[in-house]
Amino acid sequence: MDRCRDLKALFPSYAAETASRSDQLRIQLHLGDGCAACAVELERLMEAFHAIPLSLKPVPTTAGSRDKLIDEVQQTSQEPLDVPVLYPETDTNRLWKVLVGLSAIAVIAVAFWGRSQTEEVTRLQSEVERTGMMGTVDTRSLERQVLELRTTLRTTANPRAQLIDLSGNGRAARLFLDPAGGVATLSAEPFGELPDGKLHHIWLVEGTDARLLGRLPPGFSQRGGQLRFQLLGEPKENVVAIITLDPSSELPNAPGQVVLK
Amino acid sequence: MKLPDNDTLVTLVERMAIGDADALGELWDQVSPWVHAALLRMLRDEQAAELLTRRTVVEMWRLAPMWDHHVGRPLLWAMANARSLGSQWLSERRRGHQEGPATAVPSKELVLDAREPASQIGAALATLGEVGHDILEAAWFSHPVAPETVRNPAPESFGPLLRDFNRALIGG
Repeated sequence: MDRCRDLKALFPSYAAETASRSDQLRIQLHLGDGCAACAVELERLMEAFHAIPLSLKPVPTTAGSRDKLIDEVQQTSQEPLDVPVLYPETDTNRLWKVLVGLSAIAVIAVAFWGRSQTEEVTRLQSEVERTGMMGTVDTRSLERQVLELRTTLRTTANPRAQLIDLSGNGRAARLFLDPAGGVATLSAEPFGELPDGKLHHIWLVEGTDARLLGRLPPGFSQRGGQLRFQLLGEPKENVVAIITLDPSSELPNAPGQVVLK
Repeated sequence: MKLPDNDTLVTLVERMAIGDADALGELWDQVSPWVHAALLRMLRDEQAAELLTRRTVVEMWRLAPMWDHHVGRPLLWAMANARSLGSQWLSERRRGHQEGPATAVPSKELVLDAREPASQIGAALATLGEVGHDILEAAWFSHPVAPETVRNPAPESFGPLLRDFNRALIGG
C-alpha cells in the first residue's frame, strides 16, 4: 500500500507523458505486479488528460481531406494480430495443463519483466533520440503489450484450437490451428537445402481428403522459423498435417513425397 | 456540437478492425473535427494540422485490429495519437530552430476563441479557474504558457489540477 501511495503522486506526470524514465519504469513494474486499483486510477487520469482538448470548438477539415485519407489508407496495411504459439496437451486434462502452463509463463514473465524493461528503456531511448521525440514518450507500448497478452490468453483458451506435432528425417515442426482466428501457425526447424525445382508444401489431411494449406518459401525451408497461413473452415478433430516435397513449377493437386508427418 | 457517441465509435473501430473502409470514412466524419481543432490549436499551422489529422486516423486504421476496450474510448485514443504526432512535429520544428506561431505563446484571444466553455468538458475545466485551465492546456498542447497568467507551472500544481479535473468530469 505504501508503494501505491508513493507511486500515485507520479501518476499525473505519467499520464501527461512528462514522467522521468525511472519513474515510468517504477510505475510499469508496479502495474506489472497486477495492482488493479492503481491501473484504474492511472487509466482515469490518462483519459482526463486526453479529454482536455475536447473542450475546444470542433473545426472541420477542408473538403478534399477525406478523399486524401482514403488514398493514404489504401497504402497502409493494418497491423496483424500476432498468433501465439503455445503447446497445450490434447488429452482430457488439457485445460488444467494449459492453466498451469499459463501460470508458469506469467511467473516467468514477471521475473524477467525488470530485465526486459531495462532493455525496453534502452530501445526507447535510442528511438527517442532517433525521432527527436524527447520528452514525449509513447505510453501505448505498455497497453499494446497487455493487449497482446490478452489476445494470447483468448486464443489459447479456445477449446477448438489444436496443436499438431510433425516429425521426420530428424526434423521437427509444430502446427497451431486457431479456427476462431482463421489462422494456422507453423513453427519448424530448418529442413536443409532444397533440391532443384522443388519446394515444401504443407497439407491438412482428414481421412482420405488432403487439403493444401500453403507453400513454404525457400528461405523458410532453409532457415526454419514461424509462418502463418490462412485457415479456411474448421478442421476436424482427427485432422493430421504433413509436409511434402513437390515440384515448384505449379501448385500440386495432391501430396507428393512426404518429409514430415 | 456534441461529442460523438462512444458506442458508435466503438462499433466503427471494430468494423475497421476487419478492414471495413466504409467504417473508416464514418469515423473520419465523427472524429476529425475534434482532432483537427486540437492540432490547429497545438501547431497553429493549418497545413500541418490537416496532414496530422489524416495521419492520426490512418494510425487508428492501422492499429484497429489491436484495439481493445482497454485502450480507452476511441475519441480519447484519437486524441492521444494526435498529441503524439503533434509533439513530434513540434520537436522537429524546434530542433530545426524554425520560428513560427507554434514556438510562441498563444495570444489570449486565440486561446479564448478556440474554447467551447458551454461544453461538458469546457465546464469541467472552468471549475479549475483560468490559471488551472491554462496549465492543463499548456501541458496537453506542449506550448509555452502565457507569462501573464502562468509562469513555469510547478509539477506539484499540475497533479492536483489533473485530479480535480478528473473529479469534475466524473461529477459532471
